[in-house]
Amino acid sequence: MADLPLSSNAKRPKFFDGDASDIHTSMLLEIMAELWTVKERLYVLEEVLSNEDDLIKNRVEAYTLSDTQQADLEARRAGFIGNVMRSLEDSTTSGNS
Amino acid sequence: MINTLQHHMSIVPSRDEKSRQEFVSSLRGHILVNMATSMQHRYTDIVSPKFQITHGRLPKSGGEVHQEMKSDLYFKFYSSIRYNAQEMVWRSVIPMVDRNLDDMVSQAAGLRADQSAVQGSLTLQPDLPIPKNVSKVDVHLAPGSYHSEYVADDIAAGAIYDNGLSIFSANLMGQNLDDIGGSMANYIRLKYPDFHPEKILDCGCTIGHNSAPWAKIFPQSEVHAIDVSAPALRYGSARAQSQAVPIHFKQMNATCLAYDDNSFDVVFTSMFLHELPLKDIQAFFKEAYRVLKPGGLLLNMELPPNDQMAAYDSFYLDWDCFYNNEPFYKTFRDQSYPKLCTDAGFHKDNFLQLTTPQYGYMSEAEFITSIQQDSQIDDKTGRLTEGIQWFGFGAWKGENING
Repeated sequence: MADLPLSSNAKRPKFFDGDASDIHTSMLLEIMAELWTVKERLYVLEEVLSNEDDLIKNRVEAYTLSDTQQADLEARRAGFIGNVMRSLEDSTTSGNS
Repeated sequence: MINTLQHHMSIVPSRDEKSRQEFVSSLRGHILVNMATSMQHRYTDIVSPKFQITHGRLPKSGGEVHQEMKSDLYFKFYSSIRYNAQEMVWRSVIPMVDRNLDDMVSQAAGLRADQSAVQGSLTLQPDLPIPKNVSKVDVHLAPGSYHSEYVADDIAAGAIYDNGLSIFSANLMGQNLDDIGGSMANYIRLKYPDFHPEKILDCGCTIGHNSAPWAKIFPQSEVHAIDVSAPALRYGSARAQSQAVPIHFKQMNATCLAYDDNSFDVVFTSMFLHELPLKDIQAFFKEAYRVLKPGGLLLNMELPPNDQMAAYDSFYLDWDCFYNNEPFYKTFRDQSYPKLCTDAGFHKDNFLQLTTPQYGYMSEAEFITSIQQDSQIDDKTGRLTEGIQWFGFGAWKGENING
């Protein structure tokens, strides 16, 4: 491991008044990413467990999703993002803000 | 689902890494399609009518639109989420590259050394000064920019770029991120069937993903590709070798080409000029003119110019200048593209401007029909979304072979 840097040298812009909203947005998106990885692993676990229960970890890692399952996950992911963003759409696109 | 890169330098992510990468790619899709549409409605329905009441007219420029949109709540969320998504693109691939780095360095060296199938080459210039627009700016918010090296014979910056662009592009740049080069090279092949380039130069090639299509589409030609980044070139050379595409990679600054006068038939760039200070763009155009043979072509795939776009579309594209660490982006787009060419020596009548659909996403017959129509810039030109059109401009040197 070379410990490659994970952050750029750019000064992070502030889009909102005050600091809190920019920080909260970053936190929300990182939580969404983490939650999605958990949701996907759970999805695969359920598929694996429905068949057998030995060497679960290796089987989950190696499990290949079918095209149908991939499409199902893609639709779930789009729905997941749409649900989280729903309040933003509702509150700002109707001219309330 | 993200397309898997189809070459031997590609990395297999863990399941969680893949989930995160696909999440980030879907998030970008949501931003660039759903949120971009909502933001434009917000501008049309609320922001611009307010401006008209105050000023008695609509905003005239992208800058005026930007000023008005800055205080809009939807724009703030759009920008904050898009900025974070850009950071997350890199964070979704860097740990994977780091974990595989030692093996990838060895693999790249092996691929470059194996000349049995392909006669490509790599020539580095360790004492080449890295220009400040690369060394001082983490372009596209990429940590370490595109030139930093962390281990001997490093390829990390190239691998991060390749895998990051794959997430960033949301499958809109082709299987191996080569649709820009493929669309431009096929446009030239089909539009100018009597033009048979023997030597082609790709400047600012990074990992050569858009150089490769030129070598494939014009197999009789000798393709050279230059960049200032050694790790990108080491990776790009191995990537090309693994695809059996012969390309001569050289570490070189495009503002000072170490090639003879009148030596190339095509000088090509893709998404390169908008990362350069204006003085470097001007220097590059002069160098391109110098190294082109009479009858040769300078072709730059780029973002369309502000003087040909509606105010809102200018604002939308210039977002990257203000929030994606691309400080020269707007200055470039504010230039007169014909003047950049004529100032370097090209005749004004030899100026060329084009738009193309994505060659890799349609049949050749559909592509031919499309490029036979007049070049039209619209709100999908240069904008990474469904139905994108690539934009290009440049000039023929000397007599226009198109008459």
